[in-house]
Amino acid sequence: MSPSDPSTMEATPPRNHVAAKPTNAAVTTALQRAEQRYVEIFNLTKAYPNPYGDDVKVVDGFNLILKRGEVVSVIGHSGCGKSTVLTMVAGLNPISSGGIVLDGKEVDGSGPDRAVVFQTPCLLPWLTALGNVKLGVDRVYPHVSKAERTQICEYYLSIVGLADSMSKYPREMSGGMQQRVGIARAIALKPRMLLLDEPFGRLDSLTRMDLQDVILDVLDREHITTMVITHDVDEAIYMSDRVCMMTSGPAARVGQVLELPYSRPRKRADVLEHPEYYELRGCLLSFLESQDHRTTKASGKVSLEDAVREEELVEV
Amino acid sequence: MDLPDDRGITVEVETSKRTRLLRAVEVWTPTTNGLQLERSSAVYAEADTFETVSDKTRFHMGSGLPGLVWKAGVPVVFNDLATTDFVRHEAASKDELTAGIGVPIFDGEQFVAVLLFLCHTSDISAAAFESWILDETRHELTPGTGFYANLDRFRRMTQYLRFPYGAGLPGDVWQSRMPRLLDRLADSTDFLRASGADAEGLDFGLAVPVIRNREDIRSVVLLLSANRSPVSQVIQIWTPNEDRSAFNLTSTVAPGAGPMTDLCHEISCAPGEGLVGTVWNNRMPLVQTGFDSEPESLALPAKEYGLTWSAGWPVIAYGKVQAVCVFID
Repeated sequence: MSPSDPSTMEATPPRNHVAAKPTNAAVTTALQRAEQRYVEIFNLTKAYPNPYGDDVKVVDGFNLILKRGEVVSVIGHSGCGKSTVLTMVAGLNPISSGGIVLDGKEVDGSGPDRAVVFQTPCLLPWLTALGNVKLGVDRVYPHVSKAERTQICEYYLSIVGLADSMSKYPREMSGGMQQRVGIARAIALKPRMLLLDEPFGRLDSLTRMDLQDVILDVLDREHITTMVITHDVDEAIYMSDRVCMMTSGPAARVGQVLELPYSRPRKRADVLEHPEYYELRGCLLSFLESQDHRTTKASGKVSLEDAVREEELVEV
Repeated sequence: MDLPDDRGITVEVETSKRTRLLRAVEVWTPTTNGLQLERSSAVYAEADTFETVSDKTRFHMGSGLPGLVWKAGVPVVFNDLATTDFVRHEAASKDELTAGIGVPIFDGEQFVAVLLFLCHTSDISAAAFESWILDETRHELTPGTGFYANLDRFRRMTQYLRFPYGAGLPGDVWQSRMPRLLDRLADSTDFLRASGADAEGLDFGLAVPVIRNREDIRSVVLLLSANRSPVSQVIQIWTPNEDRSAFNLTSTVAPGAGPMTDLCHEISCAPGEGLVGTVWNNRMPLVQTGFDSEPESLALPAKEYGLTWSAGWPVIAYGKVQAVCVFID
């Protein structure tokens, strides 16, 4: 290599060299990368011991990256491990191996940066809608005044359509209204990530559609990175930017990811009338159908041992 | 002179050729001064004009399909060879070549060759060449350029799919850094688009990682094909035995020569022996006609089924040839 070789000159700093500050471009690139990899789920594994003391992996090597503000649905058959993944991300279920990084920090236990909405809202019956939302807000914003905390709760109850029902008790509200309180309770904490575990599973179809719109409206306003667990392919297509399809367990993992061609905010009619809608729906259904036949179809990878282990898992 | 018999045989051969997808396979390697690509080996089936033009052609980096692959370092697909970007477009049109797929081959950091497949699509063809490109930010494989012969629905859905590490056939190949051959796609639980494959009549698939440096995956190439119009009559994967004293035939699909499937796990090649041994020694792709240098157990059935050429595609990782994919037609 000659002394005038530009690569040599670059590699050898001048004598009084001071470490250069990162350029604006470098900072921008790093920020963009952080936005693109806002949530990193890497090689996530959950194993439970079977009666013989062996570890049975329910989820094995689940890999997924979410952009900031992205909504990702996770679909798969019952018992495949969708909710196990969600509870591990929420920090409610210890991870066997692998890791979860949220906004550059490794997830270690539960925290207010991740809010969960479950299928059942589980409101405290002796508190009003406002009181239920305020319970979390008081814990997360202890530094602001009581009036401001009430204002926060009222704001989020109003954006889920409960401006006139803040003083109602759970017994005075329908299932849909209770779930709205659950949603307001979660987003009022201003979480970095929202985790929805089949939030509309117990609702009738009209209420379900109504609440899907409520959540989409909230997400469009707040830009919260969201993971939705669902069985419903139409719901997955309507609500998400991406659909993550999980293989059937045991040892469930991401099968494939469907990137949806719909921008947000979106209208239900536009999604339904999109020329590819039924093809995308068919793609999801075909995947689920093929996973349904996983253990019965001929395959070199599904062995008798796997089948036995699966039975053991059901017993567990 | 038994004319009816002769006519019968002629008609049968022509029909068989019409359904064949691959009309030319070429290997382009850098010239001694490293400034251009020259053809080091090739085979042409019903592409005489194209062969004549190719004899005299060389490519600079960025020119033509081989030059673009060299520049990009990832597989590139031309769906229309009539475009002027394809330098030999006139000859391609004359010989009815419709699509081209170029794959870069690296030995460690060094680019060593472009393996080029040139196809003719007929109404009954059903095949796809897909390149899945690594999106390093999202850590997943995304669809790159692809060629789909009469697979419009499959193509439209594929554009929306992504495969994270270890997911599906491309993700599995990314994880293992080894090629994989899958037969009976429609029944396969490892091929996640099985329903689409079933609907479109795709029967088998080959996934090959494009590896740079020791183990860096830049992309995965996926070849999907129907038995009625196979990419080639026989596709094999050869892998080394434990002490690397020989390469063994470990997987085969042979839609055009069924009994050749039975050769799996029965044949091996020593270094320098036959196509696989030569590819192993030279760490370069190779196309050759005839089977004189092949082990008898492979050469005899190949001749019996009227096969005439073979192409070897090395997969080099961790400084060694880890597998050789072979196409025989």
